[in-house]
Order: sequence, then structure tokens, then C-alpha cells
Amino acid sequence: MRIFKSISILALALAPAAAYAQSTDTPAIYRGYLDFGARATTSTGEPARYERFRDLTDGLFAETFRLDAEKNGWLIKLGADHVLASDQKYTASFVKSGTFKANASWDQIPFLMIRTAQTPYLQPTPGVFILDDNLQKSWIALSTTAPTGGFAPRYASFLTTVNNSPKFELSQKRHTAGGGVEYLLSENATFKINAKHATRDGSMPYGAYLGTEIELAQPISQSISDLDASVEATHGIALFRVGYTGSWFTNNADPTIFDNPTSLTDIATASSRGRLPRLAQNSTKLGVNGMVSLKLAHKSRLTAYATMSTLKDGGEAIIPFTINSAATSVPLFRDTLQGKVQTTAANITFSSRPTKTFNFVARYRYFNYDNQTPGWTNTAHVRYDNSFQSLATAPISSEVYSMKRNNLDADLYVTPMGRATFSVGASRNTESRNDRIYTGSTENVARVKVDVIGQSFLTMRSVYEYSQRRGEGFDQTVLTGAAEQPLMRHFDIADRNRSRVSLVASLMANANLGLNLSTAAGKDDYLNTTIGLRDNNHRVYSAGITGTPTEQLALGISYSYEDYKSTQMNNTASVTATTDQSKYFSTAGDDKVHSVIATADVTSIADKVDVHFAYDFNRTRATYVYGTGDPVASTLAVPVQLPTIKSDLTRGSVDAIYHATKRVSLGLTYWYDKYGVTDYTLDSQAQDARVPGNYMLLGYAFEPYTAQTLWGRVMLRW
Amino acid sequence: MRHLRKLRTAPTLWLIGLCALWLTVVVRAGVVQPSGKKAAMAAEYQQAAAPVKPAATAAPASNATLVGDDTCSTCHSKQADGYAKTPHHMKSDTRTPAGKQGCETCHGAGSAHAADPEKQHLKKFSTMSSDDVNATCATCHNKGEHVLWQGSTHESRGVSCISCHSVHAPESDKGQLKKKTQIETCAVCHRDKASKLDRSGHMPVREGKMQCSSCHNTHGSTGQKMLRVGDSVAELCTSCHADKRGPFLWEHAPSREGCVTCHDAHGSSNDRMLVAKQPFLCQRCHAPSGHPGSVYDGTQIATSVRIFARGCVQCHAAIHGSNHPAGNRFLR
Repeated sequence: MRIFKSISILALALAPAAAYAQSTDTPAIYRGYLDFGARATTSTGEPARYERFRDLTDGLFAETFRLDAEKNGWLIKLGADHVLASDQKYTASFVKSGTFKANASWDQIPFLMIRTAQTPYLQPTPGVFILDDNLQKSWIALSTTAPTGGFAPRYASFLTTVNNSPKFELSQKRHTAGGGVEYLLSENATFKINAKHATRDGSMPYGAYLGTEIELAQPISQSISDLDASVEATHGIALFRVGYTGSWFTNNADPTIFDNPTSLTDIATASSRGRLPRLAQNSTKLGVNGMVSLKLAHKSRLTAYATMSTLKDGGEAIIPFTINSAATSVPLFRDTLQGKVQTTAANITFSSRPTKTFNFVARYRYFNYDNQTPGWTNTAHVRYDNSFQSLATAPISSEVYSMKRNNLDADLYVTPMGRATFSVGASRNTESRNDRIYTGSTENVARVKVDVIGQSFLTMRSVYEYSQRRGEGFDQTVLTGAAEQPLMRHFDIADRNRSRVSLVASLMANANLGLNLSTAAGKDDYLNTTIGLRDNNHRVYSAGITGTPTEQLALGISYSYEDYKSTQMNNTASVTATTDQSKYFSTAGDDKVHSVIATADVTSIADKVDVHFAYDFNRTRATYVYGTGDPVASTLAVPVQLPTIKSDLTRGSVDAIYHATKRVSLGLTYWYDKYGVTDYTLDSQAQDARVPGNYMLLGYAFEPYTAQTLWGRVMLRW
Repeated sequence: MRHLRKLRTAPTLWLIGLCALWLTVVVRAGVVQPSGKKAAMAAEYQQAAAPVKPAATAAPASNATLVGDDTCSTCHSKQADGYAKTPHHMKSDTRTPAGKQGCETCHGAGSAHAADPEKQHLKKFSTMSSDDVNATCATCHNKGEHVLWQGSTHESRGVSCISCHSVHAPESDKGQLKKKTQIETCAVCHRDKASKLDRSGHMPVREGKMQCSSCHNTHGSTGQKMLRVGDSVAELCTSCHADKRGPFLWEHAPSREGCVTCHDAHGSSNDRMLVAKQPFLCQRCHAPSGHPGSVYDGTQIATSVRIFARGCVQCHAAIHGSNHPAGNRFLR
């Protein structure tokens, strides 16, 4: 592989020279760049997160290749990044300026989750997870031979078996090939077409409940192809655009089948295997859209846009209720999903700036998500592939969500003098929906803004916004039908008062010194919510300084602090005891994040040597503190509070470049990454401390690491 | 705050009032045109699309004449060099500045300035209002994704083209940005979002596989939050995560209402970029009988799978929707 890489890099290095030698007709301008060399990475801990979306493998690398050529009115750009690595990317664009544009790209994105996953399951074919029969027999025997009659020995064996299983990698990769053409049909008309095909393969941790809580490395094998085409034309004061969009999603994975660790044969109450449907069905989404934009007098513009699309499933069969051959058979309500969604959306925007003093913007948006999938009702089902359950007295029906949104925004900006602009605005957002606790909601928003812009020494933007959202058509049966707490209110649609303020300011003391300040604060109060999220608020502060104290030195440092707090209430009682506050408990969440980003560019630190320093630090502390709703009347045990979750990510780099000649530079780059994490449920210590139970998990965890990468680089320009 | 609560009583009146105010303003400003002006407006638009005449470039000195690029580069060689590396210099394209009057296409005719550089100034964009800067650029950049610039959030808040782009000294690989990357550019104002990219759960932005413009169209869009694709947050997200787009036999409402109910697309310290840790996130909406809201406290973190590891989704795996006939609880 390395030899192949070496040859490829050499070929890339020579390619521009060959191209240059072949240019014989019209004079051509070449602008090229190649960055290649060798790299080594060392690490401690589990550095999968370090390489989550990138490939830092030891050996030769070709990091960046660019070639810009201009010839006979054509602009040609070729690019390659991370050549032959698992995160490689290639791009090309060809532009005949004023006539034609074409581009193509190939991009790979790795997604490395963890390299230390463990499972006793074998996978002879993708999606079929089997256990060794002897292992199953031993676990089954443990249920009857346990001296105390309990399952503790079996659970201990589960954990031991998982921990002794070979380690493997949980990862995915996404490959995307795309391209597009833009052709100027005439001076006033343009045709565009873009196509993209993306594949996603690999595996991810996925729950597979079967009495025992099992986690599998669920295979993923999907692809999506997108096509969009449009024609845009101008005529007089009008611009027209019509377009077509198509999207085809294909899932190549089969339903997942997995062994039951505690059953070798099917019986009426326990299946020897479980079956999961495919993660998603094939689907197709096709749509058309159109837009008209009118340029009106005195800097006014009216734009109207509308689109319609249809999303349909691929018509495949719905899998039976169970794979358990001994379970009572339950007929399907129908054989296929028959899924269909019709989406209609529109946007009308009017903007007018008749004088330098006034600016008015009004926008209306409409969105209708009309789910036409037929309903589904179960009067009986098989739970978790195991046992038949009659639902004759309480059938379960699907909730076919549809929604319709209307948004109206209007803002008036006034610039009475100088560079300060004052603005007042309002919005009215309405939404109707079905099968949720509110069949509709209306939100009214008012806002004021003050902006100071265009001053050479000060730019400032600020906004205060206040809104009230109120639900309509409360339907208690949605909660009671799902056996939820009657006083629960879902925060995404619940009654809410919201206030937010933000300010961003930039101060330029002089040409060499700039200061950025920003702050934001907000509070959401969920009125009428007894159970659920009751409030949340946030504060954000950030400050940054950039400066060039000398011609050779450019410095930048910024600090951000964010604090997000929330309060939610819950009830351990059954739904019939809604007013019994003795079983209420609250959870106060608090996330505090400190972030520092610093850079320093030192040019000519020594003869022909430039150095770039960068430092990023992110420190998160999160707490979830339990409280009892009514400390006096509470019958709950005093909670043992959860530890603080800590996450620290430190990244530093030094990049030194020696400019040997105008065309050749040599570089030495050093990266340092350190990730520290303390998470009582997801870090490796928590994994080690887990008590055996009726579960077999993969061991997906937040693992700390320290990693360092050293790059020796050669940079060529021509 | 109390006085603001009164707003709820008549929000529509507010909107009507604003519209009335605007109408008053435009009438006073003489915007309402007699019908015969329609042809004039059409001519104005066509003039914008046609090659720019010197007079249309609003040269400060009305009697100035064109002097040509060579004269400009005598003093402004650095700017000329930068300009020569960008598509603006493509003479073969009659829509570019080079295909028109070169430097003077944007800066105005330069004879007076060339004769007396100290007293006669050309259009200097760094001292112009954002409105004037944008108007100059929009002379040509008024189609494609720029159509929605006017009235967009950025345009309304006084952001100008040169807030982000540089004609003469671009630093970025694409898009002629003033900074090397989109993150650096956007972080000038949106520092809070950029900081989130440094958290342990993030999209591959800092690794260079995505950019701010992968999801947002900073020049304006027909959707909310200046989203590039789709007409809702869910439509944007499922344009890549198509396995979540449904329709499903058993739908989970937040997946349709908006992915950001549970996920923070800019980054989070929680697994899967969730806005809160599980099971607390799920407990915000769920406390059913038979599986009631429990206190998963310090005594349970090593024993209860409902809080341990990935929490609720270890069993409710099909949380975005299920096509299993018994998937109503998303266990299949």
C-alpha cells in the first residue's frame, strides 16, 4: 500500500510538469500546489475519537493538491485532499466563463466510533447474529442451577463472556460522488443540473431487545441518489425559475436476525431468535418548484416561491409480527406500508428600501406536511418476538402525523442618522397538527433591534425578542391513550413564554487591533406544564482580540462561556395519582462550557521561516441534580446525586515552514490532542464498574485519549 | 416585561400597523409610481444585467473618464495582482469587471482620481454603507442563490458583501472569503456556534468535511434559519440522513416536527449530539404508567440499563420511527 502511495504521490508531483510541457498552443497560466510528506501518530488510550472523521495513518501522505489552469478562456481547477487515505477527496471544475460550468467531486467521510467493541455474537452473513449453541446452553442451565434460584450467575456469565470476546471496530464510511453542470442558454437564461450519489456502509450500536437487552453491531448499507435541475431566466423586471428535484433512497440491508441468549428452541412465550426490520424502507421523493422574483422601483423586490413534492415508500412487504414459529400467529393489518407524504411549501418575501432611512421586510411562509399513509391498527400483537398479546379491548392505532405551518414576519428598519439602525418587528406563527396533545398552536413574536454598522471603529448588532406560544385544542386522550401522565406537556409544542437578547460588537481600536464581544441570554418558561420540561435558560459570553503588533506577528485569542440550565419535573406514581406530589421529583440540568481558541502567526521568525501556533480548549461540566417536588410531603428516598460529567478537549498545533525557494517549502507540523472524560454512564471506568445484569452491550464508550501526530512536509508551488 | 405581554392581545394589529407605516413612508418618499413607470423599471433592471456603462458606476467625479486598468495598477499593483487571481479578471466573459471596464466597473471612472489622487476619490468600499456596497455587487450577482439576498436576515442586519468576501485579497480556497475557512468567517459574528464545533459530539466541520454552507445559504433562503435545502429543519437533515425521512408505520412526533428538538446540529458534549443526556432528555416528554419516570440516581448508574451506557435507546432503538408491525414503542 505504501509503495502504491509513493508511486501515486510521485505521479501527482510530476503531473503538473508534464502538463506544462504539453502546452504548445496559446499561452497558459498554471497555478499549482502540492503538499506531501510523511506522518507518524502516537497515542495512548482509545484514540478512535481522534480519528473519528479523518485518517491519520502512519506513513506517506499527500495532504493537498491544487492545480488551477487558465487557457483559451477556460478556468480549470483540480484538487485532491488526503490522497488514497480513507478520508480522501477529489474535486474538479471546468469553467468557460460566461458560458459553461461543470464540477465533479468524490468525497469519503469515515466515521470511526470505537475500536474496542465486544460481543459474543458471530455474524456469518450481514445482519444475521448467532451465538454458539454451547454458550446458549450454558446460560440456560445457569437459570436452573443457580444456587439461590436467581439469575445472578447467568448475568455474571453474560458480562464475562462479553469482556472476553474479541475486540472489533464500530465504524461507518460515507462515500459521495457528485457533479453538476451550469449552462448559460443565453445572456438571460441559465440551465443547471446537479446529481449526487452517496453510500453509507458500516455498523452502529443498535438495541435488540428480546427479554435480554442486547446491543448489536447493526449493519448499515444504504445509498441515496439526488438529482435537481432548474432553468432560470430573466425578462424585464422579472426573474423566473422552475426546478425539479428527485431523491431515491435505497436500503440494501436485510432485516436483522439475532439469537436469544436464553432460548435455543421456539416456545409460545419465548423465541429462539428475534428479528428487527430494516432500519428504513426504500423511498422516493420527487418534487417540482418555481419562483418568481420581481425587481420593483426604489430598491424593492417581491419574491414568490412554491414547491410540491411527494414522498413514497418502495412498496416492500412489512415483515411478520414474529419470527417465533411457536407463537400464535397474528395477521398483519395490511401487507405493505403504502407510505405517502405530500409536501407543499411557499414563501413570499417583500423587501423595500425606498430611502436610505427606511427598510421594510415582510415574509410569509407556508408549509404543509400531509401524511397520507393509511392508518394501522393492531388488535393483537407479538411483543418482542416472544409472546402473543391480545389488544381486543384496547387496540393500538398508528399516529399518522401531519402538520401545517403558517409564518408571517414583518420588520421595519429605520436609520434616522449616521450609521445606527433601529428596528421593530413582529411574527405570527401558527401550526395545526394531529395526534398530539395540542391540535394547534399560535406564537406571537415581537422584537426590537439596534445595529450600528459601517463605522470603521465600531460594528454592533443587538436584538431583543419576546414571544408567547399558546396551544389550542388540548386533547387529553393523547396522553391517557399512551398511559402518559395527564399533566405532562411536551415542550416542543407546549405553552411557552420566551425572551431572548443578544449583542455582537466589534471594535477596531486601530488598524492593528480589534476586539470582538458578544453576549446572549434567553429564557423559556413553559406555562401550564406540571410534568415535563418547565423552563430552561441560557447565557453566552464571548470575547476575542485580534492584533498585529508587528508586521511579523498576528495574534488572535477568544474565550467563550456558555451556561445552559433547565428544570424538568416528573412523577414516579402511576398516571392515576397525578395530584399526589409526594412522588414528584425534579431534575435540574446545568451545562457549563468554557472554550478558548488562540492562534499566533509569526512570519520570518528566523530566516525564511514562518511559524503558526494554534490552541483550542473546550471544557464542559454538566450536572443533573435531583430534587423532590415537595420536600415536606415527599415519600421518595433522598436521591444520591449523580456525579458531575466532565469533558475536556485540548488541541494544540505548531506549524513551521521553511521557504527554501519561492517554489519549494519544507514544513514540520506537530499536533497534540488530549481528550479527558468523566461520564458516569459512558466512560470506560463506568463500563468497568457495571454490575452484571440482564444485558449484553457492545461496550460503546466515551474513551479518553492523548494523541500526537508529527508531519514532515514538502510544499511545492508552480 | 409586563408591558410586552400586551403584545399578545393584538399581534395582527402590530403587523397591520407596520405595513401601514411602511406604506406611509414609501408614499412620502415618492415610491408609488404612475403606471407609465413600469417600462422605466424594466429598463432599470435590464441595465443592471447589461454591460455597465461608465456613468452607471456612479463615479464620484461626474466628468471623469475611463483611464484603463494599466493606469490603476501603476499605484494599486497589490490590488491588481489579487484581482488577477480571481474569476473577476476573465475578460472573455463580458459579465465580469474585466469584460467591462476593469477596475472602473466597480470603482468608477478614474481620470479625475488619476489626475489628483489626494482630492479626487473613487468609490472606496470600506467606507461605503453596506447598502451601497451590496448594490454595487448586486449589479451582477443578482441571480442564482443571490436572488434571495435582498430581504434576507444578513442583508437586513447590515451585513455587506465585503463583510465576508474580498475582491482583491481573498484567503479561502473557494468563494473569495476574507478568512481561510467558512468557520473563521462565520465565527466573527456566530462565535457561539463555532465554539460548539469543538465539543466531543460534532459534525465533521472542523475536519473539513462539511462547512457552514453545507446546511445554510448565507445569501438567503426560502426556508427558516437560512437553511439551504428543504422547507423545514427535518427536510434539511433528512436530505443526507434519508433513512430518517420516513414515512414510517409508527412515527415519533419530534422526528417530524424538527430534529433539533432532540439534537443540536452545531455540537454537543452528549452522545449523538443530543441537547441533553439520556434518560433526562426522554423524561422531558415521557413518564408512562408501567414505565414511570424513575429517579435514576447515583445508586443505579452501575445497575440500571435505563441510565447506563446509551440509556433509553438501548431498547427503544427505532426512535426515529418503526416499520415493524409491533413497533409502536420503537422497540423493533
